Amino acid sequence: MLRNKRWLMITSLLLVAMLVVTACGTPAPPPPPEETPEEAATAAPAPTTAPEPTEEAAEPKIVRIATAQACPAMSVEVSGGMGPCDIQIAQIYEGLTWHHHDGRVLPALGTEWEMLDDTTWQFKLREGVKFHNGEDFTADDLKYSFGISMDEERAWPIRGNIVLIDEVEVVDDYTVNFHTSAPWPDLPWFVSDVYALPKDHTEEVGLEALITNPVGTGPFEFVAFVADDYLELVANEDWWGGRVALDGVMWKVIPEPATRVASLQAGEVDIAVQVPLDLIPVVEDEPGIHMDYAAEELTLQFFLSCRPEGGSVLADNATLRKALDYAIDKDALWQGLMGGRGALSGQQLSPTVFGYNPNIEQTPYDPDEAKRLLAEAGYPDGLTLSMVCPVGKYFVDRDVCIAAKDMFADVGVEIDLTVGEMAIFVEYLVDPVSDVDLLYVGWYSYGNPAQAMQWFSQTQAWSRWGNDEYDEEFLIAKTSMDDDAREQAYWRMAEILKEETPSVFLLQQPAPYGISDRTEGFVPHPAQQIILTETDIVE
Amino acid sequence: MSRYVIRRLLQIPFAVLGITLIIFVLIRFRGDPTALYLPPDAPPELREQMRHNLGLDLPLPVQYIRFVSNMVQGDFGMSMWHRQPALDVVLSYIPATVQLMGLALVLGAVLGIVLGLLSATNKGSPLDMVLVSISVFGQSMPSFWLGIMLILLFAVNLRWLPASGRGGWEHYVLPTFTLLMFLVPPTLLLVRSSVLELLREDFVLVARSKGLADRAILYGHVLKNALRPTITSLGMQMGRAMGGAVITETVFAWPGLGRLSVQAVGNRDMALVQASVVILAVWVILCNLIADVANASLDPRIQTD
Repeated sequence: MLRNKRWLMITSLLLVAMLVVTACGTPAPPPPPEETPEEAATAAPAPTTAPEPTEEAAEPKIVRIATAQACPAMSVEVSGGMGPCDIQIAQIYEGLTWHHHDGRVLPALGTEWEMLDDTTWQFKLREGVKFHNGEDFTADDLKYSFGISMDEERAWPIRGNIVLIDEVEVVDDYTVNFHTSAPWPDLPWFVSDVYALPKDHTEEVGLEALITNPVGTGPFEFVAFVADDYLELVANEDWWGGRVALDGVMWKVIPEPATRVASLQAGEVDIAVQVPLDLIPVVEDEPGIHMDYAAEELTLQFFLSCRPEGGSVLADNATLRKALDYAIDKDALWQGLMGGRGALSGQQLSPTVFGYNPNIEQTPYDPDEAKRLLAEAGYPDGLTLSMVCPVGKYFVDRDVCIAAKDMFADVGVEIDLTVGEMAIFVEYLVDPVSDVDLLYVGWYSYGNPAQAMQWFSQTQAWSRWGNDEYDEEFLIAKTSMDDDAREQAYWRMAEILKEETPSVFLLQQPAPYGISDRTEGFVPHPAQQIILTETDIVE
Repeated sequence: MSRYVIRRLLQIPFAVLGITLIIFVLIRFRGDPTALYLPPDAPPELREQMRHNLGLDLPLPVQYIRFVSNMVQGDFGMSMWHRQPALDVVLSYIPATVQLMGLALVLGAVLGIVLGLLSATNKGSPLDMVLVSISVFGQSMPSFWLGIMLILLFAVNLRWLPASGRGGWEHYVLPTFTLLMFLVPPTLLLVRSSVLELLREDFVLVARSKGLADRAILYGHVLKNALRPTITSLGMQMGRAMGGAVITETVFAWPGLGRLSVQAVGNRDMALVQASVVILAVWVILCNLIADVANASLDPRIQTD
C-alpha cells in the first residue's frame, strides 16, 4: 500500500515537472545573453555580441528559408508540375517571362513580345545573358529547351502547359517565333516555367548531370543540394538584372510546422513558410520576428457535381444548389478559421486578377432562405449529400469541411463526409462523374484568369458542369486580342456562375509567412513563389 | 551451428519474396500515381504516355514478374518523385539514418540493459522508482509531443541546442534523447522483470547455498539467462524503431529513411516504396537472425541442427 502511494507521488511529481517545463515552453523572452565566452559560442546568432565591423569583411548576407515540403531533385523536369520544387528551381533557371506579385507578366529572358498573326508570337531575347558556366544564351538554347519540354516521349508535366505550341522557329540569334495550333493570347504567361537550358553543355554532359549540377541563367547559382535536407545557393555575380543584394540563400526542409516556427524563434531561419493558424500569435508575440501574408489567388469552394451522367441530385436542380450556397456562412469561416486574412470574393476570380467582376456580391448567409429554397427544390425535409475533402492540401482544409458540415446540417442537409490525403483526393478530382456531390477544392488562377475559369468549361476534362453560353464567352476570353472584350467575357462568365451556382464559392486563403526582422524587401507572392531579387539582410 | 545459420540465411529470399508480393499489391491498391504528377489540365494522351513509360499499362502479373526479376538484378525501377533509380535514393538516405538510429539503438540497448539491471538489483529503492516511473512515462508519451517540448525548451528558450536539421554533434542531442525515451523503456522493464523473476529461481538458491558471491550469481548466471528474452525483444525492436524514427525524423527535420518511405507512400512513388520496404525488411530480418543466433549460442537447448 505504502509503496503504491510513493509510486503515485513520484509519477505525479514528474508529470507536474513536465507541465511546468512546457508552461515555460511558450513565449518567455529569451534569457539575457550572459557574456561567458562558451555560451556566446554555442548560442545561435547572439545579437548582443557586437560584431567588429572594422577588421573583417561583413558577414555574408545569407537568407535562410524553411520550406514545408522537400524538393526531391533539382530537375527542370518537375517545373510546371504540382511539386514543391518550382520555387527553388526558379532561383537558378529562368524562362522568357516571370510573374510579379502584383500580377504583371514581366520580361525575363524575353525582352519584348508581340503577336504577328493569330497563331504566331514573336519574342525578342535578352542579349548578353550568360549561363552560370559562361556559355552565351541564344535562341538555339531556347529552342532546345522547348524541344525537351514539348517532347511527347518524355511526357514531362510541363508539356501540359504548352501543348498548344506546334513549333518553335529560330529567326535569328535573338528572335524566336512560336507557332500555335490556336490563337493563344496567354502564351507569355505560360512560357514562364519553360526554363532555358544551356544547349551545348547539356548535350555534352546529358540531362541527368544537370540534375546534380544545375546550370541556368538566374540570379542565384547552385552550390549544393541534399534531398530532404538543404539547398545552398550563391549570388550570380553576372546576372543580367544586376547582382542581387543577398550573397546567398540557404533552404532547409522542415516538414513539421511547430519545428519550423521554433526554428524561426530560435533565429535559425529568416523565412518560414506555411505558419499554421494556431502558431501565428506565437510569431506575433516574439520580438525579432513578424508575420506577413499574401492573399493567395486560389479560390476555395465546394465544387458541385452537375454532370447528368454523374447521377447527382444536384445536376438538374439549380434551386437546390442555390440553397447550399445560402447555407454557408463564408464570413464565419473566413474570420473564424483564417483569422480574416486572405480575401472574400464570392466568385471564381480573386480581386487582384484580371477579369474579376466587382459587381458580383457574395451570397449572404441566410439559413431561412436556404430552407425555403430546399423546399422549393423539392426537399422540404432535407436530404443527404456526400462530400470529399482533402487534408493537408489547403490552409485548415479539414476544419473548413467540418464547420461546413455543421452549417449544412443546420438547414437540414446531412453531409456524408470523406476526408482523405492528397493521393485519395486526386482520385475523386479526376473523375468528374464520380458519385460525390460536393468536392472541397481550391482552383488557382495565379494571375491568369483562364487557368481558374477553365474548370467550368466543357472543354476541360475535369469539369463537373456544362453551359453553352459560358463556353462561348470562355472562348472569347481565351482567344480575343481585345482586352475589353476579354474582360467583358469574364464578367459575363462570373454572372452565369452566380445564376447557375455550379460551385459554392467561399474565399481566397491566406499564405502566411513568418519572417525575421533582419529580412527586408521580401514580399509574399499570391502564387506561392519566393522571389528574392529585392530581398536583403539588414543586421 | 553453422548449418543453422546457413539454413536461416536460406530462408531470407523467401521471406523477402513474400514481402514484395504484399507491398506490390498494397501499393497498387492506392491507385494510379500519374494524376499526382501531371498538371491538372494535362491531356489524356500525356497521361497514357506516362503510364506507358512506367510500365503501368501492363497486366498486373507481368508487372510483378518484371518487378521481381529486375529487383534480383538490383534494379528497383525509377523513383517518379526523385527522378533517380529508387535504390540509389534509398541508399543515399542510409547514412543519415544510420548516424541517428545507429547511435540511438546502441545507446538504447546498453542503457536499457544497464539501467534494468540497476533497477532490479535495487528493487524498491528510490532509484528503482525513478527509473520505472520515467520508463512508464517515456513509453506512454507521444514522441512528437516530447520532441517539440524539447525544442521549445532547449532551442527556443535556452538557446543551447539547434532546433532542427543535421550537422555537428549538438544536432544529435535532442533527436537521440527523444528516440531513447521511446527505445529504452521496453528493454529496461524487460531486463528488470526477467532478473527479478530469475532471482527467485531454484538455481539461484543453489548457487547461493554453494557460497557463490552475489556478484558472480548476478553476472554469471542471472544476467546470462535474462539476456535471452532481451535479445529477442531487441531484435524485434529494430523494426519498431524504424516506425518511431518517422516521427522523430519529421519533428527534427532529419533526412532519414523513415520519413522517406512515408513520403513515398503519400506520393504514390511505387518504385521507391518497394525499394525502401524491401531494404527495411532485409534489415529487420537480419537483425532477428542475429538475435536468434546470439540466443542459440547463449542457450544450448535451442535446436541448431
